[in-house]
Amino acid sequence: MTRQRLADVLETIYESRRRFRTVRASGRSHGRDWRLWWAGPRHVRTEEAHRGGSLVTVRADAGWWMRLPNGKVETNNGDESVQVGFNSSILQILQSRALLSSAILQILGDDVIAGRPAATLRARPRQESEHARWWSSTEPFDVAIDLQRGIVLRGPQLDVTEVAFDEDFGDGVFGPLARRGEPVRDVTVRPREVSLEEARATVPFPILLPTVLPEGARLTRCLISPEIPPVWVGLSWVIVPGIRYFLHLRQGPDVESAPASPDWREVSQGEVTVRVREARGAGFRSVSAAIDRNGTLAQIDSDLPAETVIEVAVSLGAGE
Amino acid sequence: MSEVGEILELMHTSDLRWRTLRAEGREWRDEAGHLDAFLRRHPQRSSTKVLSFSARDPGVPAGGRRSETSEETWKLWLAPGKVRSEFEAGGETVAVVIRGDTWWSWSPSWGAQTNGGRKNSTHGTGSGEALIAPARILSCANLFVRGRTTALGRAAFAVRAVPVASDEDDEGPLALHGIGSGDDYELIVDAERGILLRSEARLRDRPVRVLEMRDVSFDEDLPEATFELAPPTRAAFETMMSDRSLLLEELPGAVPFTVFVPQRPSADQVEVWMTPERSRGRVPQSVQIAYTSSDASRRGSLSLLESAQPMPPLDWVSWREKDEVMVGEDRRMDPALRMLRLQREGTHVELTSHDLSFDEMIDLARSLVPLPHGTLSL
Repeated sequence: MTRQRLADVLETIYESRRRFRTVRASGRSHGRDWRLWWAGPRHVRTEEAHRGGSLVTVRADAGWWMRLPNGKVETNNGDESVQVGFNSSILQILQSRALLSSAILQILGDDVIAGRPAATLRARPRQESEHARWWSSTEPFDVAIDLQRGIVLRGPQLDVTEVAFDEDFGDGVFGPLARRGEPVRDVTVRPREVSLEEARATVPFPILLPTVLPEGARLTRCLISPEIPPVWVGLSWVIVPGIRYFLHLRQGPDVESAPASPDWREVSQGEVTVRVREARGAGFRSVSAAIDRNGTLAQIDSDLPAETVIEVAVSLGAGE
Repeated sequence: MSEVGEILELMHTSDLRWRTLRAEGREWRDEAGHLDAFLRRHPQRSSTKVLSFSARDPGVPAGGRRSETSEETWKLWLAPGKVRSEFEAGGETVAVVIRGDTWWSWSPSWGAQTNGGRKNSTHGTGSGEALIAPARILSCANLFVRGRTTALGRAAFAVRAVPVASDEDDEGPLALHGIGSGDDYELIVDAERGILLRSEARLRDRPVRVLEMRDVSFDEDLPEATFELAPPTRAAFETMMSDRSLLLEELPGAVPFTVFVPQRPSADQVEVWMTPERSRGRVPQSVQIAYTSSDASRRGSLSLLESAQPMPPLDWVSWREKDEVMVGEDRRMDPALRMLRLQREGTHVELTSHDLSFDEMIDLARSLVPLPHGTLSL
């Protein structure tokens, strides 16, 4: 194979979007396997392996569908004001052109990747380029570019293992994800704001309320999910004066238990166990506390100090 | 190799084609045309509120009209790891030197300032900077080579650049920001060094922003004194402290004046910043408390600016007294910003809102109470 000239590779990258009509690819990014079908920016399907299942995302013109790893299906029902985000570490194989602006490329040699002739290049990120940097590195890194189509075949934490261009995809590729009769959550149907009394009368589970709240706490909002019957209820308090703090409490069968990840720690008070996650930075504090009370899962999110959130969580009881 | 390939390589590798650079030039703008082009590139979405505003040029008297076109000059010196720039901004000349992570600047208004080497504080180097970073536009504009030309006695390519559709590249409008907003651009690319000798942003075939070099030289040995900044006043450099984001609970212990908050703001989210004293007290220490609603359909956004020192007069705002407070409107914005000022226990408070009425703001001002110190009781 002849070593490529830089100008030719740059031109291939520059023209990349004009060099294919459709792309079907498989690969691995950040340790996760994925598959991609792309027929222009408005017709995209990705499937990516997650712990506990696959995440499938489909966009077809204005509409999108998403099958979550837990099997639930969501859609925007064609409402383009509610958009879906694709995993950028998959779509970056098509975003080679960002390299022209944000890095300085130097040819290293030739290779064959996923059966495709490729140029391998060293990319040195430009110091001033904060934008258009999909590789999230300030250190030099190597990339491989398809010599005919200009897409990225290999990059930091990215390997394409199979790729095909200009195939005609069947209708099902960009079609709805739900099987016949399977429930689909329409994300454009908003939760309903109700009074606490109305929520109690509407939801089919006991509503847990804290018996302990900070001085100055004021209930500002009570929302129930749009499903019939509702699958969660959300209560929001602010601590006055001046919204010193907020506290959101979400509970019901749709609330998932806190994942078994190192971000969450267990705190026991008497017979009650609360799982707690904290994040703190300049100008923000985020504390989440998850608790299971007689089979009802509840999660608190707040910017109160963690010990206060734990006390509130421990005090949760039904029928107050 | 095609001509486009040659241009791509020139612009992409421009940084590698010179060791030092000295240049001076000008920026010309059709103010209304450029704003029009910007709004065309960033169309208003139905779900988004757009505030348009214009800052007042100190050279224009209050209530006066800004001229339809403007022209500002700039000078640049670059060497590895070092930059010096002198450019016009706000009717005065700003001089800045950058060495590594540290910048020093001087201007008649702001005096001698430095970031003291803090990486989170950067300084602009004026409009000429965009001409020496030609690679920025390669990801977001399609190039059409018009042919060879000469400029400033140098061999060059004349190139038309057309922004790509935003669906193709999310960064498009941002990356073109340096050379302005336009339907298309006429560029003069130096055939040896790859920099832009001229850029003309155009809207409907009329120029709206021109950046051009009047002189440029490469690979001179620039004297070390070029990258040292000596303020004319011989004043010591004041280290600029950045705004700091805080929790509301941290404010009482962070400032030497009583902070006031509304008893029951109508929004449900709050963000807090503290601005340190700057320019040796000309900009006093202040805090800003911004209330917003998590539900975009709800009104109630409100900002409070508080300081131990009086707020500047803002001569573009007509103030009047209403119910024992001063109220005014900043009509440079659309919708107008309603403003209310009062003093309480030595603290000067300014409330501003785009969507609350004066009566609602006065009610909130009457509810102001000192932000509690100390821990929270359950």
